[in-house]
Amino acid sequence: MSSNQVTDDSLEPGQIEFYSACYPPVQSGNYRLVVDQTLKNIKGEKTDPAFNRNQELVLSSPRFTLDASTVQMVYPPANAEGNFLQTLPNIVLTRRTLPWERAIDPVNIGNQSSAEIDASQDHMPWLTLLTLYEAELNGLKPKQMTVAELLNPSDSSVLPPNLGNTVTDEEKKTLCLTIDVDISLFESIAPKAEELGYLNHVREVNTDGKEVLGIDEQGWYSVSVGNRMSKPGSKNSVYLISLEGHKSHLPEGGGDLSGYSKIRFAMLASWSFIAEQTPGDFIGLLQALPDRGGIELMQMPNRTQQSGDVPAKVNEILKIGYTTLDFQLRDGEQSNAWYRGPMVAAPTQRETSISYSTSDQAIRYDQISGLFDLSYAAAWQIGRLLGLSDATFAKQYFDWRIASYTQMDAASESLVVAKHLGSTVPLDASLEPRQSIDKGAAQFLSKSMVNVAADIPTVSSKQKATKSSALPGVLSDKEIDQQIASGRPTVLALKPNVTDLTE
Amino acid sequence: MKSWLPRNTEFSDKQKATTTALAQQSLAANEKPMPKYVVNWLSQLRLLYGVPFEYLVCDEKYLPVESIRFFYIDRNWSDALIDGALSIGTTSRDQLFKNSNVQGISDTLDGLENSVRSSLRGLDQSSGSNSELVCGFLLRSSVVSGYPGMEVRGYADKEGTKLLDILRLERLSPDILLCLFAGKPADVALQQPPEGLHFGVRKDETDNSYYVYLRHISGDDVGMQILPAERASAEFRDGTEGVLNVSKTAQNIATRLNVEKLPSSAFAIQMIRASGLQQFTTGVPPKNNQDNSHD
Repeated sequence: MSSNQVTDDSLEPGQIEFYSACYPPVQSGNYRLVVDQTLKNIKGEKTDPAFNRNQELVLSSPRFTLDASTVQMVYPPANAEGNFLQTLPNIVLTRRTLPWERAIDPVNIGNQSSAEIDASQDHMPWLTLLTLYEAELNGLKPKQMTVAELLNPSDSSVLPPNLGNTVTDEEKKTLCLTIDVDISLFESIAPKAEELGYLNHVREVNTDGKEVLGIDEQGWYSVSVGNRMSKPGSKNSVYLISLEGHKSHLPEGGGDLSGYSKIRFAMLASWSFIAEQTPGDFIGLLQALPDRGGIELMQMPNRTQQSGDVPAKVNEILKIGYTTLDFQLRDGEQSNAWYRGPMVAAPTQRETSISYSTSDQAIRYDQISGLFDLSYAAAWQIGRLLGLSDATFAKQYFDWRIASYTQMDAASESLVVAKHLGSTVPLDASLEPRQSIDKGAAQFLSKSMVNVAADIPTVSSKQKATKSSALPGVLSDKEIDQQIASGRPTVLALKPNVTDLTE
Repeated sequence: MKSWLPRNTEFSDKQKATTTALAQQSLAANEKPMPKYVVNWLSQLRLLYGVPFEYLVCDEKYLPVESIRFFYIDRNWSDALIDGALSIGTTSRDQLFKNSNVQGISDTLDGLENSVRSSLRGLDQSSGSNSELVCGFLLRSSVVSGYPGMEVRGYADKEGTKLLDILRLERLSPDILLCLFAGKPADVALQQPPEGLHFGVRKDETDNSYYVYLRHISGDDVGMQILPAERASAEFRDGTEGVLNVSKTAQNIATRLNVEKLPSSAFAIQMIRASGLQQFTTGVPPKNNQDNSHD
């Protein structure tokens, strides 16, 4: 858990490790590297020559702007609309040291060494999330301006961050996005200085290619959590702001805020989302069930108050889920009847093959209470109505029934035939009646017919020779040749030349 | 038409034969199986699809606002329902047909009970075995409308190892959820639709206070919720809407966890709000049940 001692154990896939903070070796800012060198014991020199050198160093890190690629993820997602009840917004940054890279109070660290800074500042994060509800925006809009304008507002009622002389001239010329927040609003919603530590932490994630808890990032990240719940039914705007130079302006920070109506921040990121109006917390609502509607079996609420004269047996009927409903009898009489739906408070014994002809057949009579029980009658009736109301069901069921009848008619016909044939024809009981009749009939015929085979006269075919030349109008090849050679009209040659066919 | 047999003999023979044929007829042996649409329709009807709500719950007192009611399904009721549907347009012969078929149809539907939900969801038929006992619950709560993707699991044992098949899970109205299990659940868990890892607090709807569930910050279970559930109250800054009093909340948590000062990593772990899970266990008074909720 410690920020300085990172264990060597690598994370298992799907594991997330939380760290309180991840401090950079040196905080960002302006440094002076001082080198002193004294050369001693040089021959011929009375005084040891001393050299010294000063080197100005600027350790730069995001300060007034933040590259968009630094933001890994925000929750609730930007522009999302959803059930973000009692959610604290958070932003995940790809630089694990980012929240601790700058000192929140750069002026007072002055000329301290980096070791002293570590001790005095207690590594207070310089970033925080500010959540504003729609009604509080009051025309608040991020404005682009130079850093110089951020530090020296033209409006004297706007409180700028106190960065002293830590800002270089070059930095002052750069552009940044700023927001001016009503100072009283800021004082009421901003975290206190001692709370900032709780609201920033580092996590190491090993998702191993798989999404775990909606996270698909892998590696080290810093996370900044807002201190304000999202408001349901409203647009919520979240701003990641720099608190650098604002330490004393934080709630209970001790700074003098009189004379100011607004406070100006460098805004590093922002997004908004809409939290839908929801009925309440999931767990909260479910845990409130016992106090509200209750967690019970499906039965009417206890009626003991009004049931002084109700026999115990009747109470039992109520207990297993029955209730009485108005019952209008066919003859017009008004009465009550027991009814219980399909959802019952006690297990029931299933009766085999229920089949009623009418719903009235399913009415039962309870002798103890002297009332009818209409439960199954009602079930039967609604089943019938539902069946009728679905034309496709009714049609297909009818068709199937008729097709089954046709099949059964054929089957029963066969049974009748089989009964009559039974004495004459051997029937194979293992076969379907129809097939057994067919087979039996075939066997019967083949057996009976073999006895009469001898009596049937054999028919031999008559050979009939036909002279092609004798057929009318048909000439042999030779005759055709002769006809052609003779030059006589062809038609005469077709005259019938009838001869006796019998030889 | 003249016949070589006395007509009344033939008629009585035929009638007997028909009866025998009908008696022999069962759905399985029938060469003409029931059309698929009819089978599907009936198996859905058996799970009370399409039955008007007034028939299921005839009085509001059965299911008041913000309540959950567990029940057994009365098979006789649903059998009567099916029988009613099968008796449309019946003459005496159809009646006979129905009487001889109703058991076969009932058996077929018993076998199909388990696949109704999976086929409606476009999945392969579930392989689960059908159960004689069908139980379920009706939940009437604004949770139903507020958390549409709510997950339901029912277990046959209190240890939560034998998962029961869900035969039907459906919203009957915006705030009424019907769930039917193939079997008797000893433990029912309702889970909030999963969300990403995020931070937040929980609200006690009975007294409008806020709290967080405590998680282990050391040991093997680090990050897991401490069970049975323990809460630390979340404090808010006076006079402003929704601003968490971070220091005080962290102090509350530290006190409950018996640590002097909570590091911010541990604070982050405590503030994680995962999707909620609420269990209802049979035999345990519902009030005691509350603490079984997980984060």
